Amino acid sequence: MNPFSFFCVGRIALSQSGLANTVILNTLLLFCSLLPCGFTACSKEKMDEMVSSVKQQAQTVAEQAKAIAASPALAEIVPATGRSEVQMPTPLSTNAAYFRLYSFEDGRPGVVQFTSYDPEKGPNAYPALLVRANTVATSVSAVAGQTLMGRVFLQAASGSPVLMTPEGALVDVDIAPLNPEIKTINASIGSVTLYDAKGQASTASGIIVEGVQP
Amino acid sequence: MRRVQLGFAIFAMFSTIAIGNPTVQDPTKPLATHNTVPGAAELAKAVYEASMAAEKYVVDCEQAVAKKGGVAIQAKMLAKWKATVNQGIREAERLQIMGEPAAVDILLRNHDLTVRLNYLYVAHNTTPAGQVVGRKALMQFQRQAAAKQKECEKVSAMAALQPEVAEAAADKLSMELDTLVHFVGLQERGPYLPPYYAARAAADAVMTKKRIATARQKFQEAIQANLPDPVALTSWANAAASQLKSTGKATVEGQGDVAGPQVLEELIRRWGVGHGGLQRVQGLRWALRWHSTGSNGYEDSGSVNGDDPTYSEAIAWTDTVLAAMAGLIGADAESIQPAKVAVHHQQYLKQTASMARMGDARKVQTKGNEALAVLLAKNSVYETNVKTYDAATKDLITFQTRWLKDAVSNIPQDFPNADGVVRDRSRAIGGMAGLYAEDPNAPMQATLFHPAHKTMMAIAPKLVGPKVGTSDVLRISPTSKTSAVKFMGRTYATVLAVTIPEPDLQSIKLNLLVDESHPPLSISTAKAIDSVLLGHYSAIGGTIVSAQIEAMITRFVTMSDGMAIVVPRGTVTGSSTDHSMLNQMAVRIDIDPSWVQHDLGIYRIPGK
Repeated sequence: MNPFSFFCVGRIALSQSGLANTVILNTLLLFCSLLPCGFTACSKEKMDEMVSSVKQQAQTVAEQAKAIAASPALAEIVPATGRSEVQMPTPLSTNAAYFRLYSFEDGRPGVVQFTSYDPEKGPNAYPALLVRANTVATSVSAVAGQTLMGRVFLQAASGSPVLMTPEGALVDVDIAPLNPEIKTINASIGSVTLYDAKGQASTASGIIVEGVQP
Repeated sequence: MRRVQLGFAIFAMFSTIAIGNPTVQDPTKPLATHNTVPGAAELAKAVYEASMAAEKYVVDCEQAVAKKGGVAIQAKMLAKWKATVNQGIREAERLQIMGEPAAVDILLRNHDLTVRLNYLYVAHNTTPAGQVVGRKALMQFQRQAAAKQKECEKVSAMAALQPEVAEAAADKLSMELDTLVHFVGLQERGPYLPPYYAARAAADAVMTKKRIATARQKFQEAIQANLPDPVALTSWANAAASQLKSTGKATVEGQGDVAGPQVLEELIRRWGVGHGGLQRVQGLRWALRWHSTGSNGYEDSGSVNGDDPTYSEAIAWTDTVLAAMAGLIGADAESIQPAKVAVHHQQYLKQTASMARMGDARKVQTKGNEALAVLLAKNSVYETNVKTYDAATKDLITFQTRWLKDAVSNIPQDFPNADGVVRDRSRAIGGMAGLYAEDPNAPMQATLFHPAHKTMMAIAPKLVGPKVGTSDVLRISPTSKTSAVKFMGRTYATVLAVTIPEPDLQSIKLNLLVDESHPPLSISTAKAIDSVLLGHYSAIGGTIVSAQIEAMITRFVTMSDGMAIVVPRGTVTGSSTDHSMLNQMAVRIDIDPSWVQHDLGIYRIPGK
């Protein structure tokens, strides 16, 4: 068994329980502890011993990560469920965000959508944020690192006014390059003016969405 | 019905008076007729012309009397117009039996003239010359009493066998009587009147019954001719469906063997004809109801109190059409080649989107989606595309719809509901003529309380100018320059169609992932694209630039299939069932739009 597989187990456990800086540190330590054996020949016994020790450590790390993720401050930073943040006078954020790329067989342009809500359930969890941009790309890797032109829709709470960028006034949606270390696809938008149905403008100085892929 | 309208148009061309309805521009136009009972239009035209001439005489005479007093009145002219006005009243009563609302207007006009003529008689009869005329008239009564007695008896005797001749003779006698009787005092004239009254009553008794029977027969025939037949439609659709199922084509009259979408097109056409028919039936039943209300003194012809039968017929008709639609699409799905699924699906989407626009959108969309799902299952690659498309567009539509809901709830301040504005501005306040009672708690029914032209003259200056908002605007046809706004209470509207500029169109298409070669793939997006391209708007706001008053019965009896979009499919316009609709009016307003709301946003017209 390749000892690198333990590293992977550790990564998965970590990403599932929430990545926090301390957890990453622990992972690195675990990784380092495995290294010598990874590059040298080990006896079967030695190997089994290390495996069980690593398993234990991994479990401890997972538990730690869970505990850390449960603390609200850290959960807001990087929950593995993605997150979204709208910087406004009254900032809005969610501990979940989703990324979807819809592409078509018939040559129709596709669309990327970053949402703060589960796209299967629609914008019924609040605050509800939708960042939507057309694209000709048909794969996530082709979208990553690009700046697309899109629209923003935001509703802070059920029954509160819907804010949106006007039809035809597209904003830059910067999609971060793919990072194999994280499961989310991240997008950011700079300062953007949103309008409610009365024509009243609200400015968001920035929008960040870290969307989980299906 | 079409022939009647054509006939009416030809008739109107040769008419000396402008037939139509009173408008802001020409408030004196008389009310239009529906002519369900043949001869009604000609009769109305003749009576309108006579009462307009009588009114001109009265106005001139009143002015002369104001200057010179009763001596300005010529007895012969006064008597002539008095007789004309009374004959007009008799003829209007005949028109009433024919279900013509113009009758109400003519009666109101002539009753108004009667009052004014009575003042002129008082002015005339009190002058020395007038007293001479009175004495001469009384002498004439005395001189011809025996002869007239015989003549009257002859008319009475004729009534049973030759009622039309008797009526004409009675009319002649009544007019002769009118030329004399009003110069003579009530007591002095008394003994000479009974023979005239007897002749009148004998002729009227037979002719009224005869007219009622004819009118009822004509109305029933028209109802039967217009009432859609759901059973026939179902059997037509079933036959077409079984053909589609076995060969992928079905025979449509006049088109030969055609594919599923063309069959659905034929169903949609039939739906529209039936819907138009139901609106005409509603108008015909309102007219018939006049015969069944107690106040007119005629026997009951079957009360329609309680449930409105046309309403349940309208629901049944649309339900039948939607079931047939599902059946046709389902049958097509059974025989279709996978390669043809996309083309048929996209045509069906366009059709169901337009159906959703015209009627109960939710019902159409549910039924349509169920049927289309069966078709989609025949091509899994395309089906995936459609599902992806739906997922990629539905949140956008949800947000836009919510935004629009906010937008609409903000509109009423600037653009109050059109029906409310029309009601407020056409109230009969402080003795002014109007269509709505002064009491705001009175039933919200536009009623002809005063002659139509006087009503229009009183309300026209108030009706033009205000800003109003209204919902549900449909383009009458893709090529039509006007859109129509559905009935709200007793108000409906027409709007000049608005063209949304190309850049706006492009960004809407971009949002919906649509271009020339990629049509929308869901009913709701197809509906949205239709809304923008064809000018079907969920709301509009603008300024009232013109108005017209029309009788409800005439509006509905003469409703063309195209214009019937002013009533959503699957419904009919309701009415209170407790009284005659003969005097009930509708107000049509023309709106110059400032903004329109389509399915995905609001377009503000520059400079408005």
